[in-house]
Amino acid sequence: MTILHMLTRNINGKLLNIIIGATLIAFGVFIGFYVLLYFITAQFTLSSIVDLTLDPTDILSLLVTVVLAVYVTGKLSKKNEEERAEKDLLIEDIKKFKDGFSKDLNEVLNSSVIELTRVTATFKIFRMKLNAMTNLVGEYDFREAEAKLKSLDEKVRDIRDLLTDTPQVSSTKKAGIIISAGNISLESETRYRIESNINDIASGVFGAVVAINRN
Amino acid sequence: MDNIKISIAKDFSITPGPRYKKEGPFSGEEFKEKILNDAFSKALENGIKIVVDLDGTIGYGTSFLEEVFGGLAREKGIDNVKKTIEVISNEEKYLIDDIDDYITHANEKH
Repeated sequence: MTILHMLTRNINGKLLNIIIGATLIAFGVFIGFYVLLYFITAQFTLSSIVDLTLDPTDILSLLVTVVLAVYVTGKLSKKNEEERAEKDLLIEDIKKFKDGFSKDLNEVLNSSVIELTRVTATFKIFRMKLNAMTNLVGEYDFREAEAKLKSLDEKVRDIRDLLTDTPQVSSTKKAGIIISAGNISLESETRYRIESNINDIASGVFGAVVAINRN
Repeated sequence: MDNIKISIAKDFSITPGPRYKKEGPFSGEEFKEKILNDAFSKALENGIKIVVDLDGTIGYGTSFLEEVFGGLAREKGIDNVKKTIEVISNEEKYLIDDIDDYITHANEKH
């Protein structure tokens, strides 16, 4: 592993951007200043301000600066590409989850018979997927996105409750669903609340995607 | 004496159902009557735990879990259930928090 690699390995992408940007700007200003002076005044020649004696130390210093700039830029560019690829993969997974969840849930809701076991199986799969994604996002330090996905799990759980929770016999609470022979009948208010939660999930997914891109 | 182990998938059904027997097969009420109540009395008498494994089913409805664990807490006492029942789930770890919630709030009208 080269010394340069060791030096740049652990530097944050944004900090590297700043370092290399500042180096290139300083270098550019230095060169530009003398070129500009040279062309502005005919009386002003480079030799009047710059000792044209070639000092090996200066040449070496210049070469090292140029090599460092090229190497770091290359490394930085690769690091940025890798980070972008990671973000794109996570975003694609989150969007697939949202699309799959909406599609499967709508299929269930629009069935002529809503089987309780089909609903519980659907929610098991989707909660497991969502929790796996939340853990993955957390592992890659997208903390804001992780928080947004955790709140999505609450929404998914709310929908599961709306579809599978019948009140106790002693409860005075109005039943949002009726289950008979393992099949679910939905009250219209319950259907409305489920659709409202699905919309909230879509908004939550959008928020998570924005949080990942902003990271 | 060893702890009592119950696997819902192996000892009861891989398709847990609704809350009450009248609502459909493999209900929470049926699970308590056939398996959990006796095991709980035995565990309480002998000062041992019941380890309930949730893995291996196709999934759980809210009222099945609430009736099993919240219902047990209403019948036997929240503290007794918390000290006697241990829930494990490798597939859906978040269910353990859900169940703890059902037990804690068992006496609130649901």
